Order: sequence, then C-alpha cells, then structure tokens
Amino acid sequence: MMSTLMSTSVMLALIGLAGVLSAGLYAWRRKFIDALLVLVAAAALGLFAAGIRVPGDAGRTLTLDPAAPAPMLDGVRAFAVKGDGLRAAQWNDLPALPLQWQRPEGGSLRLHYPRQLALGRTFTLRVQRDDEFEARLQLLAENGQVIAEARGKDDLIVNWMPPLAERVVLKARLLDAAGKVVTEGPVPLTIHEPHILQVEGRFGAPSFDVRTLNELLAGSGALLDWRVVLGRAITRTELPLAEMKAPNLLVIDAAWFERASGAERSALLGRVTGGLPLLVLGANANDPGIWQRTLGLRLQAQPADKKIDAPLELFVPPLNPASREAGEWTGSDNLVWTRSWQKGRIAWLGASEWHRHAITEPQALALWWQGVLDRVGVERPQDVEWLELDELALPGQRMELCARGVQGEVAFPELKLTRTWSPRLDAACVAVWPEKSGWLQVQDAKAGKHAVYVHSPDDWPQWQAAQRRDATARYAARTPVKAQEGAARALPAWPFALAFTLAMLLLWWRERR
Amino acid sequence: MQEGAEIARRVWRAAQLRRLPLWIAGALPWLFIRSAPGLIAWTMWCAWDWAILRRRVSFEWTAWLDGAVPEMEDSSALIEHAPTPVAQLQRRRILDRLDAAVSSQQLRRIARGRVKPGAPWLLGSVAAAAAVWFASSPTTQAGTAAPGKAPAAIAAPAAARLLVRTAPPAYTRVAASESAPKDVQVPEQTVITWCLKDPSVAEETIEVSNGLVLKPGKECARWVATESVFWRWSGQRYTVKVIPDQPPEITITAPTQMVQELSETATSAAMGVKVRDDYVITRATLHMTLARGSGENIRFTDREMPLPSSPDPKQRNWSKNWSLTELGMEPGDELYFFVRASDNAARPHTVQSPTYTLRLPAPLEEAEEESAAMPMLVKPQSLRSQRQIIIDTEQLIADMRSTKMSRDAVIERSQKIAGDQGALRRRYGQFLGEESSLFADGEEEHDEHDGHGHGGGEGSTQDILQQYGHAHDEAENATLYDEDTKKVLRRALVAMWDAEKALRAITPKAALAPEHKALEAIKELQQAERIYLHKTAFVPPPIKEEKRMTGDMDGTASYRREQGGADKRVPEDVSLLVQALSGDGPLPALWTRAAHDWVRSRLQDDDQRLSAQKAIQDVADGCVACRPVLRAWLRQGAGQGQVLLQARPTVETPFARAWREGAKP
Repeated sequence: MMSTLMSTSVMLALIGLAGVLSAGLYAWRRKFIDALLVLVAAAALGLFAAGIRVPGDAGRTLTLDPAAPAPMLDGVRAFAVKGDGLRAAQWNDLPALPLQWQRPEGGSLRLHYPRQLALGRTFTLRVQRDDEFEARLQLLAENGQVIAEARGKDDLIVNWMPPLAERVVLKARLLDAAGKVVTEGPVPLTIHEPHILQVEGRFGAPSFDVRTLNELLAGSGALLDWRVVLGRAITRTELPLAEMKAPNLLVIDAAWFERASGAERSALLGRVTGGLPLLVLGANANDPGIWQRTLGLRLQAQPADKKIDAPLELFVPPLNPASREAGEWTGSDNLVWTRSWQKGRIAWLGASEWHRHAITEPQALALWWQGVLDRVGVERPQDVEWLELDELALPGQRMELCARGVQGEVAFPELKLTRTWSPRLDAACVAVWPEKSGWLQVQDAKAGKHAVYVHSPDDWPQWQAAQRRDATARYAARTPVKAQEGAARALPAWPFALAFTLAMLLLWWRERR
Repeated sequence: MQEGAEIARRVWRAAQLRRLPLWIAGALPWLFIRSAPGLIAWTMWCAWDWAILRRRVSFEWTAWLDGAVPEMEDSSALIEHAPTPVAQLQRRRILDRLDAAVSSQQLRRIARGRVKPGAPWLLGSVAAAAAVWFASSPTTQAGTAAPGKAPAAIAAPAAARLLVRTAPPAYTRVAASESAPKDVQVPEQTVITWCLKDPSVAEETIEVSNGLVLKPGKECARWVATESVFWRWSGQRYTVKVIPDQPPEITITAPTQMVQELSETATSAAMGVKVRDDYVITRATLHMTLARGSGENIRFTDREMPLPSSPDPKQRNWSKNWSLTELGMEPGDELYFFVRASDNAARPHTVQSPTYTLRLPAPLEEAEEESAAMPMLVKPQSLRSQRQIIIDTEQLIADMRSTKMSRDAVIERSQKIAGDQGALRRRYGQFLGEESSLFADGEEEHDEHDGHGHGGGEGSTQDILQQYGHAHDEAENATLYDEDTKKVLRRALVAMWDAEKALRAITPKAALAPEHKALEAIKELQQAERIYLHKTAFVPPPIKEEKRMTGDMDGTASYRREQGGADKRVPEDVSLLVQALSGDGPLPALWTRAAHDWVRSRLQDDDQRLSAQKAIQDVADGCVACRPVLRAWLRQGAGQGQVLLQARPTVETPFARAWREGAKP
C-alpha cells in the first residue's frame, strides 16, 4: 500500500517536473500558447495517474420490488425497499447488502396456533394485534357455524376442543365492535390420533381419588394394569384390554410404597432407573422417614385443612415437601415435585380429593390431570417430527419444510417432485415451490404422510405484512447502514486521458506547422 | 306517378305477408329453449331474407302483375317508367283500371305463386334449436352437482310438469292447496302429494332431504310432513317448512302468587285464567281441591269446573270473584287449583298449569286448643298428609317446568317436601316399632322445616323417656299388628323412603311414583277393618362362636377384571365417513344412511339440519368441494371433544442427546 502510494507520488512528481520544464522551454522561446498546452497536458496526465477517489455512494442502490426481486445485481451496492419489505425466503436469496428501509407502523396482525394437534388436547388460537381496539374473534367451521368466540381489547384467544381426528381448514374472523369484518382467513389444522398411555398402577389403599384417576385414564383409552390392595391379602386387579408392550407411566400411592418390602421397592426404582417416569400420589403418606431415606424427599406435616385453589379446589395431603426446592427435588405450583432418577424421573403429587370435581367439572379435572402428566414428564419417544413452517407458505414462493429425524428422500406427489433432505443443526430441510394453494401432500419413507397448507396470496394480508416486516428487520440487522458510508467512488479517468491526448495532438500540430 | 308507387307498395306488402309466418314460426323454437344467441341469429337471417325479398320484389313486381293480370296488357313496367308519350298514354289507361283489375285477393294469389313459404328454412331452424337443446341438456344435468345452480330455463318447464298438493289436517282449518313446485309452509301432519301431470313421461324421482326417495309415477307420491325438509326435483330444491302444532298456553292472571295467603277477614278470592292455542281449544277445566283440617285429619273435596268457551275458539278468558262460602272455605282451609286444557290436534296436547294455593289462615287460639285436646304424650306434629305431599311435589314439578326457578329455590322446596315426607314416614314407622321420630331423632330437621317450635315440655318428656325408658322389644315385633298389616305398612314405608330419597336428590319427578304408592298403601291401611293382636318372637340366626372375632377372611377373595374401556362418543361409521370425506376418494357403502341418522339425531335446529341434509345431497351428487362442509356438520353433531389424557411425543435427535449428555458430565 505504502509502496504504491510512493510510486504514485514519484510518478506524479516526474510528470509535474516534465510539464514544468517543457512549459519553461516554450515560454523561453516565447511560445506561450504551447507552454499552456503542455501545462494542461501535464495536469491531465497527472490527474489520470492519480486515480482520484470521491467520497460517497459506491455503485447503484437498487429499489426492490416485493413482487419480483431483481435478479440482476451487477454493480448494486445497496438495496432500498418500501413498505413491508420482502419475505424471509426472498431475503435469503439476496446477498447481504446495506438496506434502506423505514419500518411501517401499525396495521399488522399475528396469529399463533399449533398446525398439528393431538385429539383430546385443546386447540388455542391467539391473535396478536398492533392496533388496540375493541374487537371480537370468531372461529368458524367449514359450514360457517361459529365454534368459538372471544372478545377483548388486546390479544384475543379462542379455545376449541376438536371431537374427531381429521384435517380441517377452519376460518378465523376478526370483527370490530360494530360487527364489521376487519379480516378473515383460513386456519389450517391437522388433528391426529393421540398417543395413548400405558399405565401401571399399584395402590396400597382404595380411594375415590384412585378410582377417579382410573376412570379418567380408561376413558382416555389408556391401557391399565391396576392393582389396588383392599385389605390383607385381598387385591383388586384390573387387566389391560390389550397387551401392554411398553408402559410409559408408573403410578403408586404413598401407602403402597411405605408398605412394600425392600425388594419390591428396589425393583420399582430399578424400572425407574431404566427411564420410566414414576408418579407418587402423596395423599396417604404416613412415614416421612422412608421417603427421606429412599428418595431423599423431605416431607413436612401440613396444616389439616390446607387447600389449593387454582385451578381446582384441592386439599393438601398431611405430608408434603416443605419447600419448592428440596434438595434434588424441584416443585412447581406447590403441586408436583420432581426429581430425576438416573434415566427416569420420580414425581410427587401433593394434592388430593380431586374426585370431588369428577362429576361437576369433568373437563376441567381432565385438563388438570393432563397438566400434571405433562409436568411429570410423561413422554413418548418418537423417531420423527415435522416442524412448523417459519412463514406462511404461498404458491410460487419458496417454502422451507423441515423435519427432525429424517434422511434420504422426500416426495411431493402433487408436484411430481422428489427432493433430498439436506441436514441442518438438528433437523433436515428441503425447499419447494408449491404451485397452488391448498393442502400440499408430502410423503416421506420414514415419517409417513404429511400435508402442508399453502395459503392463497390474499390470505391474512396483515399477518403476511407482519412476517415481511420481521424478515426485513432481520435482514437489515445483518448489514448495518454505517458500513456503506466509508465506501468511496473512483472519479472516472477517461476525460483526463482525452484531455491529455488532445493537448498533445494540438501541440504536435502546432510544431508541424 | 303516385298511383304507380301505390301499386308497388301493395305488391310488396303482399309479398311480406306471405313470408311473415316463416319469420315468426322460425323464431318460436328458439324462444322455447330460451336461447338468446339462437334468437339473434334467426333475426339476422330474417333481416337478410327480407332484404333479398325486397330486392326481388322491386325488380320483378311488374312481371308478376303482367303474368297474373291480363288487364295489365303486359304494360306494368310502364307504371314505373313511361319514356314516350304513347307509353304515357298507355300508362294512364292502365292506372285508370288498376283499382278495378288488381284486388288484394289477386295480390295475395300473386304472392302465393311467386314467393315461397320457406318451409325448408323453418325445418332448419327447428332442427338447429333441437340440436342446441340436446347439446346443452347433459351439461345442465352435470351442473346440478354444483349446489342450487340449476338453470331456470330448464327448471321452469320441468316444474310445470309436477303438481304439489298439500292437505293439512282438518282440525287446523288451513285450506288444502295445489300448485306448481315452490317453497311452502305447512302445519304439522300435513299430507303432501306430488303428482305428475303426464304420468307416462319420465322416470324422475323426488329426493327428500331426510334421505327418502319418492317416485311419482302413475300414482302420486305421498309423504306426511313431520319435520321441516327440502325436496329436489329436476335439480331444483324446494323447502317444506313445518309449523309444529303448539300446545295450549295457560296463564293464570289471578292470584298472582303461587301461594296466596288470604287475609283473615277476606270474604272473597279472585281467580283469572287465560288459555290460548294456535288452533282450537277443545277443553279447558278448572280443578279445585279443598283441604280441610290439620295434622293427619285432613279431608279433601275435589271439584272440577269447565271453563266457558268464548266466541274466539283460539282462546278462553275466564275470571271470577269467588265468595268464600261459594268455595266452601273456612278458616284454616287450603284451596289448591289448577287449569287443564287440551287442543284439537290429532294427538291432543294436554297442558296443566302449575297448582296455585289459596290459604285462609286459622285463628291462632284455636290451634292451641286443639293440641291441648289431643290425648297424647306430645303435641301432634304438624304433619303434612301424603296427599298434600303429592300436591306439593306436583306443584314443584310444574313450577320447574313452567317458570325459570333458581336452582337454590328448587333445592329448598324439594328439601322441604322431603322433610315433610320424612316426618310422615317416621310417624308411620312408629307402628312398626321403628325408632320413633316423635321421641327422638329428626327433631333438628323439624325445627328447620316446619316453623312450629316444640315446647320445653316436650323436651323434658323426651329426656325422661331416654333416661328411664327401656325398650324391651325387638323393633319388628314391638307392635300389635298382624303380618299382613305390617306388610302393607312396610310397603308404605319403603315407598316413603324412596320418595324422600328422590326428593333429597332434587329429582321430584322420580319421587311422584313412590309417593302415590305410599298413598295407596296408607289408604289400604285406613280401610283395614280390624287389627289383630298377634305377637311372635324374632329368631335371629345363630352366631358361630368359633369364628367370631378370629379375623378369618374366608369367603372374601381378591378378584380381577378387565379394565374399563373408553366410551365412544362418535360411532365408528361416522368417524370412518369423516375420514373418507377428508380426501376425494370413494365414500364407504351406505354412508348416506349413517349421515342422515347422525344428522337427524344430533342436529336439533331446523335450519342447521336442512343445511346438513343439503350438504349430504350435494356430496352424494359428487361435489368434492362440499365435502368439508358436510364434515363440519358431522363434526358439529359430535359436539365438543373430550379431554384425552396422553403422553407428550418427543423426538430425541443426536444433537439433543449430545447436548443433554454434554450438559451433565
């Protein structure tokens, strides 16, 4: 760098010297016009050689059109975009360049809902709005009947319990206070069959709670291996309807554990070690010492009529863990305490008398139990999982479909297309360009059939706007605008070369004359 | 020259008249099939034909005249143009005799001879119209797959071929009607008849939305309207809305309260009743029951009185200011009354109003005197008789049905009646030697329910009995009755227990049957002539002393059974159908029946049911876009889903595993 600078200045000095000497000679011979010409030629040559750079924009700024982002990027040094910007898929196709963009305010909308749901779980649609006004959100079935409704000022949430496992395209409609439709659009949803539980239950004493739990599980289609000790040497056994291959939950009550022999206990804990979750119903615990010794759980006597209010009114058993954090044990909501046991988990349920709600609010009780099971960590390992799209899929736009645990090829029968999964961090993705809106079928050898809903370009314009704004903001954050200010532009060199040539030619002509 | 123009115009007119029938007749087939393009094409052809004719006539009319009228002396051309004086002379001659020589009849004959009627053209037009009609009719049939888009052009003539007769039941006095197919509103039980005007024509069927398919052939198709439906014929849908026959509506305007306490000095009581029905009230009666007496000594007097009919058969208004002597009420009496009305439906609706009570309070002193006169250990309980309990229960049921009572009020009243029933049961229980409520239990309850406090004297009696009394006898054997009487008593008590149980469970309807049973048993007891004194000893089964208190559990055993299954809320065929409707493949066999049954049993609202049935029909017609709609209706029939306890699926990728294991070294 330094040497080039040196050589340039030496060259400039030589040119200057030659010019001044020549002009001096001409002036000596009183040829003032020729002297002037020599000076002009020297100056032009000097400027040509210097390669002067002018501070400011380098190259063109391209204004992008969201409908058709420019493919020609030669000489483009920056982008400008108006309005909501481009989709993430479009930005991903462009090189990282500075962006001039003013984020529009307001008018956008975001919908949050699961695209896939297991039957028996609640579908929740949340609409998040920029503009706060009194509004009503309706969820409609395909026949135009309202199946859920909510109203409010800020975020709107509707819940719905699907009764059948199927693939549906519901419709959400946002109405203002006067009942005028603000916006509406499709809400595609795939409801699949639930993963039923396989539960082994061992109980030291019969109770209404145990019976209610049994009925809840049986009503959910779970396979049960249930054994209740009624009295000395009298047990009631329930056998599963079908063969139980891989139990995914063990339930015991505290009394069973306290009365069990050492061998029984260690056999049970051995199974937990292998990765099974164990749930202990703490209602009839009697002997804190056993729990402290075997599981490291410190129990403390509780006041007799202590209750938990939310979401159901339940009683606290006479013995419960003392605090939220108790050694290895971690509690949540003063309800379930869990600890890991090598590969498995052990959970303590510190509530009782839930059977009181079995008749009046069966739905709420079942939801509460589902919450408990989720907290206990009753999981069913699965090989593959389809991930939700980051962006609304639109026809003619690139869509990135990702899944976990897949490899090899994936087919799109409607597009007559087969792609190879390209691995990412812990997933694999393929890109496709759907042709038309509607369900796009996907078929994978390992993950089976799946369908992605491709929206029509007119669906949810406010939501699309929100997604574009987010994508554009992310893109803009990649290349800060500051960087472009330092860039400088070269002054074009050819006028100086021309001026030098003309001056020299004129001089030559004058000499010849 | 003028006359020349005149004769040319006449020839031209005659030629036009000759051709006019063709032009009109050729347009008719196009009008019939209502094809606008065809009509336009025919009109254009007519214009062209007219122009050709005009041209021909203007060139040839002189020749035509010369050929047909000898008087013209081959000089017709001169009428148009006479170049020489001789020609002009001849022209004048001809013109002079023109009117005489050329009559309009002659002109018509000329036109008949010279201008063809154009039958081939007419045939062509008819053939083209027929071709267009045949070409378009299959597409209209295919078009019915799209809901409600049958073109009017086809439907109108089709509709004209069918006659719909409605014959409402006679009692409604709605006139029978006969019309072309259209949407109708008919009363329930109307007989609807579809008749073809020309029975030999078509093999078309009428599809009723509830899945029924009728074939009006030589005999008309009949259907009795029991529910709102629509029916389809020739791709057009017509709705039959059924107006159900409403039961009569009874309003009691006076007294305003269900239980009216008359003032002690009252001499009259007002009653006002309004009964309305949508057609005719055939019968309306006022039932009054006077209850006199207290304790168990209550007599009932029943009266039934028809309500007079008014000029308007649809309603009966009646009111009367009874004097108490007319009603026969004395202080301390209660009068219960209700109104029963029935209408003239084929299966008459009979409606009973809730029971109203008029109460004339008894003077207070009298009540005390009465109790003092009773030769018993304790004051008589203020018991309500079994019959009063029945009346109370009926009233509660009626009130629950007619008025929106709050839940608390229902519970309170039901419990109160249960308390009464319990008191009565204990009273009768004494006769069987049950623990007497008069002496011991149930006292607290009584204090709650009947307002009568029990005096201190009673309390002391109770204490004495408890302290010093000694029950020698076995409960069952303690009394003086023979086994038959005791059987009846036991039956009464069991019935009373059942009634009380039902009342405590706030199901008064279920209590009525045992209450009546108890009443019957009590009546039987009252009618029993004698009571025999017959005492037997109770022989309890012997106790095995060697087994007692050993803790031996012989005879008890563990048991095992299969677990309970999940309750299927949606039948198998419906869920299979929903699965099949998710795709566009074939549907399961007999799916329409399953869908119809499901829709009829699950969708109560008329409009919703009709829409669902429309969706079934559309899908049956092969409309793929209608499948989600039908799915939504079937889903709606299933109601809200049920929470199913389940495991959460997790996917452990190598990355996640490495992360977890890395975090826990």
